[in-house]
Amino acid sequence: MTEITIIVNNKKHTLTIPGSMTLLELLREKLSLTGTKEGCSKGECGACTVIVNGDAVNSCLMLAAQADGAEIETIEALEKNGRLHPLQEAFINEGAVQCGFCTPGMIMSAKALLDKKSNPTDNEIKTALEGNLCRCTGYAKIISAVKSAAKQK
Amino acid sequence: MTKKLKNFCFLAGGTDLVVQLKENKLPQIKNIVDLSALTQLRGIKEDKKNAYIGALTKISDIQNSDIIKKYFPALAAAACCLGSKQIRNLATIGGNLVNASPIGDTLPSLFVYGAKIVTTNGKNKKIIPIEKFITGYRKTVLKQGEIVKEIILPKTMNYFSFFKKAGQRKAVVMSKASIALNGLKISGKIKDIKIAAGSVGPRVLRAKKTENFLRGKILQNETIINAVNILAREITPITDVRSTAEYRTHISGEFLKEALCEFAKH
Amino acid sequence: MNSVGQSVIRKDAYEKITGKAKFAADYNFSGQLYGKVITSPHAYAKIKTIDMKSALGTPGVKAVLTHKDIPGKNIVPLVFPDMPFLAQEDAKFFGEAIALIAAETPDAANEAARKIKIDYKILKPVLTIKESIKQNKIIKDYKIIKGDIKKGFREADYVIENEYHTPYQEHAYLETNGMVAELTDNGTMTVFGSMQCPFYVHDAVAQILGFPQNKVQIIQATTGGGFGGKEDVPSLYAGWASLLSYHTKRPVKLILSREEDLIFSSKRHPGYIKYKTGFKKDGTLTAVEVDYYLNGGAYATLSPIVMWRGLIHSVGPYKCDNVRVKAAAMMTNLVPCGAFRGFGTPQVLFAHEGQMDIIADKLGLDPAELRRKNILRPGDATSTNQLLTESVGMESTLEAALKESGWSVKKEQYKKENKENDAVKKGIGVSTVFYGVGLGAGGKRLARAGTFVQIFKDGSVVVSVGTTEMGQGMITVLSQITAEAFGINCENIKLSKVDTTRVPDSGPTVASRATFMSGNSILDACAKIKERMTPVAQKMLKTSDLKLTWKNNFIFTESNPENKISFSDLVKECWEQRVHLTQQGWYMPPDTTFDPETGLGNAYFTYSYATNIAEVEVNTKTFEVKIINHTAAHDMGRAINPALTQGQIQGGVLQGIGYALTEEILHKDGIMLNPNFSTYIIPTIHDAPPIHPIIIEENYSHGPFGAKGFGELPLMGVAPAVTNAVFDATGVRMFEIPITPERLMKERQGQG
Repeated sequence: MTEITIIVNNKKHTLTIPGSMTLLELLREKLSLTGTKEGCSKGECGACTVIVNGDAVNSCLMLAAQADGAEIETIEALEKNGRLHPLQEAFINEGAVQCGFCTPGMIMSAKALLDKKSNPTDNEIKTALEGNLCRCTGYAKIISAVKSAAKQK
Repeated sequence: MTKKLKNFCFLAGGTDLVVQLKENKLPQIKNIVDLSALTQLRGIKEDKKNAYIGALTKISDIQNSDIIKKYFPALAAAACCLGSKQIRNLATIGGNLVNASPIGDTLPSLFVYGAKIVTTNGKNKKIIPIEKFITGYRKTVLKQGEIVKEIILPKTMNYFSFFKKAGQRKAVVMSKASIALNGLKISGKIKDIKIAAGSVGPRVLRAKKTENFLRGKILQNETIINAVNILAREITPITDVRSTAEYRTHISGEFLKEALCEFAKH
Repeated sequence: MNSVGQSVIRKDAYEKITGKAKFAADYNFSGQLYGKVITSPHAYAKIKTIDMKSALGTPGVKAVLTHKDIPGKNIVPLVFPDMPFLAQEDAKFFGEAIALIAAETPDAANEAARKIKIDYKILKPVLTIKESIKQNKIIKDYKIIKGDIKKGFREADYVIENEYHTPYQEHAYLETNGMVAELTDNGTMTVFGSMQCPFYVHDAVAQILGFPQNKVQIIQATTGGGFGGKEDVPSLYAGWASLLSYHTKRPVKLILSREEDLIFSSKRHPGYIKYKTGFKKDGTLTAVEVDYYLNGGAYATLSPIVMWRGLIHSVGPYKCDNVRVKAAAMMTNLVPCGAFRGFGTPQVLFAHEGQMDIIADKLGLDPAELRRKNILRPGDATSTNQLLTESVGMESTLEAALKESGWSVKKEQYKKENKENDAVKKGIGVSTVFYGVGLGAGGKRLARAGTFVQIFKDGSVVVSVGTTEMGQGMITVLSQITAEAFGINCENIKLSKVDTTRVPDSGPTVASRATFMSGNSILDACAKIKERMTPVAQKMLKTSDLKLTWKNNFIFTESNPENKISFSDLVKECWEQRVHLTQQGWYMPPDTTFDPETGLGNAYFTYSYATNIAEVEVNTKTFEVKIINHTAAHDMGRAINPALTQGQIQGGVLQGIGYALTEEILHKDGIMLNPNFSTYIIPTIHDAPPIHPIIIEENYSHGPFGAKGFGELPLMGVAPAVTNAVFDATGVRMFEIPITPERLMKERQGQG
């Protein structure tokens, strides 16, 4: 067991956790933040993507202990005071959602990109989302959504 | 600290290790020593002769480093096609190296740039050429308690370098085959050349026979075709879930051909 | 129209983009245990002994169960009663379930799983279709005999005969299968989970527990993709979770890992097709003879009906008077295959579209021209002698796709470019396909749908149906249909969670049937409620006109639209007057027939049509195939929601591109070699080409607002269009997919 302190969605948590616990397990089981999804637990699908210190990462590949001291953002943080994040608005309006299982991870990858680059090229969008598999949409409307969100920002 | 510990392993980025731990593939491991607190091991420095890459430097840092892009473009190219964006944000060059997998994406480039690996056990430091550092399939000379501190890459001037990887789709793939090359021509003749091939044997292969053949040659069509044939005999690819031995031989040859054609024009 | 035909926003989008949508794994109950399944590591083995002692002794373990612990019947109820929930004497495929564990934590369950000792006697497995044919291990076979096949070949100027092979395809829905079961205090087994067909799951849970069906309640959780992969197998997983809950008296959560899901959930059947076509010099088909085999795996599951659908579609959307088809699902010691978008047709249409391209090439005809000559039009009969009378959009999709893609221009342009470019060869290919909507004569007894519509006194409406949302957009489309019926806004409609105790059994959510079937049953319910509301409205409007218009949230007469009442005022008044504002709806589709002796009959009540045009670039050095453009024109009768329809096309096409280029499952001695997403290769965002969807609306008179069904079609015709484009680019004809660089290189060397 090991004690860690992390900031999740602007809230500080000090927790005692097993060393083998992943960040994904911590978010879902300890903090009940089930918006972050487990699709493969091997870093191959991106459904578990969260933002750690500004970078998109696979939370299934990171031990929670590695996140000690880190700032973490999950999908739950995006809607603020009843206002959706521009990416969320765009995902709705562009029809970028079908089954919805890849959506939180997809949005977090896109957010990490837009936080750093307000006007990304198509290729930058694709590279930012390359680790997020989607089996429903063919990705076209997802790309449109990220572009449209970038314009609104 | 690690002296008192038994059955432990070091954790760098964790993108391979965490999966193995979770799948109980390392049942002997009882303790994990997270190296990420050693922030001095993350970052890229340079002096006149060398670049120094800290072992905990993220793959994404390498991809974006001006030093790497300028002096070691084949390493930058390899970093760009390792895993996904999310993986590159976690994975480290030291981890990719110590994994010593024949499909490790950065390894062929490290080979052709003549990387020297600096290891430490906390007291003593050793500098080992990469070819001696990796001893076999997922094997290195590292002993329990030793870690890689940094990777030294000697700068080369006026060299041509190349990296290409084949995968089952356009991105986020494990390599079927890859070729890295770094070479120097003087008055049209090859003065120095290093070629490394990934995913075509139990470890990344330095194609020394092909290099020997090419050294001193002028790059003409026939020379290139002969070099490709020598490479085909030098590599030992297998058929597995990602590709066939025949295709791996073919594509390694095509990449070498492409590299040499570009080198000829360089 | 208020709502139908509009691209209204998805009803479930908000929950999904905020992370609030609850998928199976997101349910947690106090005191819940974690379930784990132990499966066979062999392709075929006799189970000699199972030693559970040390597993049971693992701290935190609450139950270790085998088939002996099943209080009900150890048979998954489906087409044939052959598949057990848990293996008894022998395990017939790699990944077959043998034992179950429930423990306080997933780690404890995993540890116990490692401690179970099962002693096997390894038996000799059957691992290929051809071996199964040799041993005559037929699960089920059907035939079509139409006209005189010998005469057809005699009349032919040419006969071509080829063999085609298609691979397994994994659904790769992003959410793995999962269930949470709880034996509630009133003695009902309640199961929440990821599924397409809650009533299949309902039957299965009652069967494994030996419960009367009224003591089972199945609630569909938000389901993260299905594509057919959550049609029948959720029955198994719900059975396991409920068995563990039954014995431990605690809620049990059982979520499959990706590896487990890839290993033992159902797949698209590998196909082996021998196809012989006779045709005249002008391209007219005179005879089609097909031997069509599917690798069914170790148990029948859905194979008989998957194969039946393939049989019906084996000639394609073409006229031909002389047909002989034999289709068989074969048993092997491999994972049982089941439903997957297209349901037995993508395999056989890969063959018929290959044949069409070869014929065109042989006759020097444009492949599009050859299709114009042979496609089904109104007044033509299908290969089962079904006369097509209405909503036959084959030709419209073909012409639209040819036009939109710039077919003729590109064909010439690529030919020219190829002459000047050795490194990259471009090509363009077409396929035309059709698809019977709904279950057809093969599944007639399930062809029904029920609805429960309730108007609350504030004018908002809740609709319960027995078909499910799995990402395809059903909730939104059915909301639009309801809204249209009442002439109100879509925002006023809410679809309730599917709960098998609250909605009538509507058959499965498969076969592109939800819009059509549930849509019609909703219209039935709405019409009946409106009938009761009409007299109240007449009174309020002070009119005797029986024909009222329900539009834009108001009710009025055409003759005097200014005199109107709002829907909510009407509802209020109806409530005051105790008008019954709730209603069951029920729908059964037009009849279908099938004569098992000849295979002839009206197999499906209607068909949807699609034309795909793929443009490819083949790298002659790496043999990599890149799709540069894809055009897909679809006739679905009516697009209730065009944006969702486009989304289905884009997603289906990319799934079809995966099938064409990268997706396959590899085995060694029956053991799956690539059970994860780094080795089972589905397209990433970089692999997605520009996809141009075209919507063609040939209204179907029985459809809700003219709609047929179409969810499966987008995937179906893609692989042959790509294959034909590769031929156009390189002159290499691929008889097997996926077209990996390895396979293309080998074929190129073979074909010179």
